[in-house]
Amino acid sequence: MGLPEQRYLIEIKEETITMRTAHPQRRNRSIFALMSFLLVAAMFALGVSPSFAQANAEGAGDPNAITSSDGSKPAASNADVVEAGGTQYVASSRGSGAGSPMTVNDKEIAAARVPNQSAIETVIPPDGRFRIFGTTSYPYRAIAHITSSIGGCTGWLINRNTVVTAGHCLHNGRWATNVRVYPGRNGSSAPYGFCTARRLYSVVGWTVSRNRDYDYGAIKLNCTVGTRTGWFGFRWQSASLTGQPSYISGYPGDKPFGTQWRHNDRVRITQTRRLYYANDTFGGMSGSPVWNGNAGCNPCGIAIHAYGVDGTGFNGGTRITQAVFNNLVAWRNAP
Amino acid sequence: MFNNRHTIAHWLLALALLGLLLTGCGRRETEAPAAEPGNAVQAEPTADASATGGGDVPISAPAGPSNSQTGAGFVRGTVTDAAGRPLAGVLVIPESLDTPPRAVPEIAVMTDDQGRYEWGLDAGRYRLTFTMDGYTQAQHEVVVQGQPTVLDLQLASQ
Repeated sequence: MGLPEQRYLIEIKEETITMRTAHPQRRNRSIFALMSFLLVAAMFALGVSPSFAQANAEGAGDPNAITSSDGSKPAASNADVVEAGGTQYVASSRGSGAGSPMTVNDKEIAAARVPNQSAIETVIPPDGRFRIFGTTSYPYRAIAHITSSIGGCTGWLINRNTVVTAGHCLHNGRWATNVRVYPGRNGSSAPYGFCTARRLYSVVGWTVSRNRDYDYGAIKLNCTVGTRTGWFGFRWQSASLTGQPSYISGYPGDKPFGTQWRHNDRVRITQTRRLYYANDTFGGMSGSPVWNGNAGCNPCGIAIHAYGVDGTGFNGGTRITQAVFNNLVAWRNAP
Repeated sequence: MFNNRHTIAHWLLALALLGLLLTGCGRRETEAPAAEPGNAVQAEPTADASATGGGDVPISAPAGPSNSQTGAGFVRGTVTDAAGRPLAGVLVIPESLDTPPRAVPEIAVMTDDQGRYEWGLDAGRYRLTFTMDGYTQAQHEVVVQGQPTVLDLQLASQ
């Protein structure tokens, strides 16, 4: 360090800062304080990225810490949150239902030549799925077909411009590109057109740790189509959901491209961060709403479908815990 | 006096370098969306140069440095017809062969206009099924590890 043993002097330009000390211990503390000050000043001066600052602010160990495609961080919010007997929910909305139909172009239809074949793994025999032909009816119009560089997925609106989906539909080592969201799509018909993404959200537990317990995210749209399609409510509860109805509707890849299919079952296993059910699903249904209904919140999302059968023998999704709920609220209320 | 100023200058330079380093680390997660699947520019090991539809060929990638996501890897490749033309719209479906089976993300991955596909999967053994109307369905086994596995194949028309 080249400092004198008993006394040192630091002078910066114009000698505006002068610090003297007579004891080594005080000197070391002073050096540490000065270094800390300079480090913080240097970080500000150099414009260290928001994501880094955010990770520190929220604690790098928090798997529910929010990440986004543009580094922005939504403010915490409890707008529209309803307290109900120790749990919380956000209510659904039916929207106006007014459409702006379009036909999906021929190129995309050409890419839709998928055979009608028996499912390979995640349709639990017998296949109980049934097609939704009336996709402009509620709540099916609030369910969207998502296409992107990662693949085909499903999402569900939770307000006028926010779509919830699985984290792996948005981030697979890098953020998805060319994201298109078709609410209420029905084959080549897109009754509400499509929207693109303004921002993608997920959490550190998925984008960094790739932990399926935290496999969820959301798309902030470049449109406000939710005012017409309406949206789902959602809720969390700490008590087990086993035995409650589980309804899933989405866009499976083994069916004619862009068609919506639903299956009804019930929750079979409740884990801390996952729900398991015997609803028949297939690739393309990641991000689908797993919902049921109760007073004040109907339809009401309780999980985000994400995975096919694992060791439990059931398909599963990311449970809407309180932490997930808080992030969904923050995302829906973000500008 | 000169020595003190000299020391501070070194500290400031070191802090500036540290700041730049931190800036780089912090921006990794927020970079602009990357290239489309198949546009990766890094050299990749090819586990199997080419496979023909209808077979059931085990393929494994050589051991290598881990992917940035722990326990995860990629399978990617190009699907062509018998004449070597890229096939768009081929559905690529992975199925875990491990016991107990690994949960597979329920994404509908299809080949793009250049016949390219990419699957991000946890490490493990999988059977990939390639299916498209008018072509014979093909299945191939792959072992996903930290390093990308490349699986190109041709589908025979029916």
